[in-house]
Amino acid sequence: MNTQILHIEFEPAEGAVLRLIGLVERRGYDVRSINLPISSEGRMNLDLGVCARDNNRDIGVLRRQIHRLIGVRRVLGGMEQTELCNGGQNG
Amino acid sequence: MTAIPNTLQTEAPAQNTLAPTGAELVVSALRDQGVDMVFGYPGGAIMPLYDALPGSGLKHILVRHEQAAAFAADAYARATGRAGVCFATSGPGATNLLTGIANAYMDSVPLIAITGQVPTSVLGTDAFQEIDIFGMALPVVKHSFLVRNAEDIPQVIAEAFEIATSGRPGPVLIDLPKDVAQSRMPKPRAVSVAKTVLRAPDPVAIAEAETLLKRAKRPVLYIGGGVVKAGAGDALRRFNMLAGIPAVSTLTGLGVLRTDSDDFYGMLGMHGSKEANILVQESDLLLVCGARFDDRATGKLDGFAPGAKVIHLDCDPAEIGKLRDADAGVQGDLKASLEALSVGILDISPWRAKAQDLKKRHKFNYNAPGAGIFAPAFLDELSRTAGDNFVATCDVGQHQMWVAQHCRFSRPEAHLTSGGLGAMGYGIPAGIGAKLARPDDCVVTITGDGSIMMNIQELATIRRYGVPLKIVLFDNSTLGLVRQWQELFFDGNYSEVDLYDNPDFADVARAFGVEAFTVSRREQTSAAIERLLRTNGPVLAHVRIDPRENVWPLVPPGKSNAEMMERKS
Repeated sequence: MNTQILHIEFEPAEGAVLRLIGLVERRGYDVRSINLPISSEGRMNLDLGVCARDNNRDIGVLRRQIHRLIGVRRVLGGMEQTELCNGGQNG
Repeated sequence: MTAIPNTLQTEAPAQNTLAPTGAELVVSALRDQGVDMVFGYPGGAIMPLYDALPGSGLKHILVRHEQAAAFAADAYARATGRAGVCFATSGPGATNLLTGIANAYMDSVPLIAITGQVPTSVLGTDAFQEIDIFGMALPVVKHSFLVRNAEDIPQVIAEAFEIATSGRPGPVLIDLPKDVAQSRMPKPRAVSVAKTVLRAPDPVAIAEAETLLKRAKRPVLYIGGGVVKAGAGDALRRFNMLAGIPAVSTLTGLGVLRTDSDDFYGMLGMHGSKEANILVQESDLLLVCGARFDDRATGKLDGFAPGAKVIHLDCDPAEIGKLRDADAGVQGDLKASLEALSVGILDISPWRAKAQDLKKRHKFNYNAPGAGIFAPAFLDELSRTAGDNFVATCDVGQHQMWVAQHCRFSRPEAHLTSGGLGAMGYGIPAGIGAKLARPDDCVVTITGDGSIMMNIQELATIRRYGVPLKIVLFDNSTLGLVRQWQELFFDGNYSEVDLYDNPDFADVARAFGVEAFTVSRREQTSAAIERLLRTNGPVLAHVRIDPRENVWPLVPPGKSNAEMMERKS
């Protein structure tokens, strides 16, 4: 399966990153890469490389599930990044 | 009803002019939200909050296990439409709440769970009764807070209520360290909470839905619990009064349409009615309102309603297309969506006639063989005798499915059940919460001999507060639904389901100070129901039933709803 990159913009809060990553794992995706750049005032950005564990997962549904979390402002992406599948990256 | 003791009856602390503590801010913020009753159990880390209760105006219901506090608050919320509130201490108190929080999450119930926590200075040190409940609860809450400064308390409480009750409701956890609760805060942060406004339905999507509806020859209205949560029941009834679409519902959607109304065909799914499942399987259009295509409703998804297009109305965009693609997805306020849908009277007379014929042909036969009490007939008679103010709170197992199949419901808040989580032990605490919320209703807990033991200690709570809850305990001395599956799908290998050593439940109830009686013969059914309904105080009817009785019909696990079993082959 191919890794896809999600760009998530969210408000900083205690547990926010854990909440995001946990949701992705629970909804049937492996987290293959994480990039959490230094945030600007009042906003944080998380780039996640995610890979579905089976063929029945719709990245659009995952995007909407992330977006409904309290404090999430935007979820973009879901484009395939095949070169990240074997190994990923850590940011 | 016996007067309910409450924390007001203890003497209020002497007036003082000190700045309020964090705990006092919690209490006043709860009062600001209109909270009048909370369910809980004290302990070390939450003692400051309990110290602030006397004289606060909050009625506290002391349960005997924290799980019951969460279940009671959940039912209080379902019965009132307002958020339920429960308290527990840190560590085991908090972990005991988790099942109840998960229950609220699965059924989208607004619940505020406030847990005590060890002081901030020792967080992360494995202190006594320290558990990371914030982390543990992440998968089962809509949101959560760990309050580190008392000045944030009014804001956190206000946000928590807004989050819990708006959009798709859900539980919110507030973890409150002891030192934060004890610190004095002369000037808390001003509260500012933006109200969530659900988006209006997209007119284009509504038009698409209307086109599909007008073209349909075999439409089915598929009602889920989301209709109840959205307060869209009246809008749905008005819509279907004109449209006249044959309707089915999920477990949590029961009662949105009167279950005895002409256009209602019962629950769909694993233990749904034959006619409901046939109609859905043969439909050419499903109008799905506030439902999530739960596997217990759909059976094998690939074979579910194979010829049907789907219109999916839901406030939660993440549900649309999650399990079944929608030909028209209408995201937004469900009530507004239903009010916007205008299709007039649909030309589906042959389909309606077929539906009526199916209902007649598959009418349930209450004349079971034998001389023992037949639970479906008992429940049918009970709900009819109790009338329109009947409220059932269910435990989980065969009796839960019999309630869904055979009780008559005239409104959705009359059927309180653990739907998504399927949590045994829900019934009695839920009965307490529902009866305290709706004291004028005839609240009956329907439980089984397996389930009741999960929270039987709450008979003490019933006694303590004189809650006039009626309990029907169907006792087949076995874990009936598991036994049924072992009989049908595990070659009769009955593994660990025999509860031959149950106590005498009537004696147990009496030991807790609750009136109780036992019946086992069919001719005792009417008298038992009469005694149950006319008893003023709490009462338990211990109803012995045949352990070999199964719930029918049944869609075998992993099979399509087209493959319903009506009896063992």
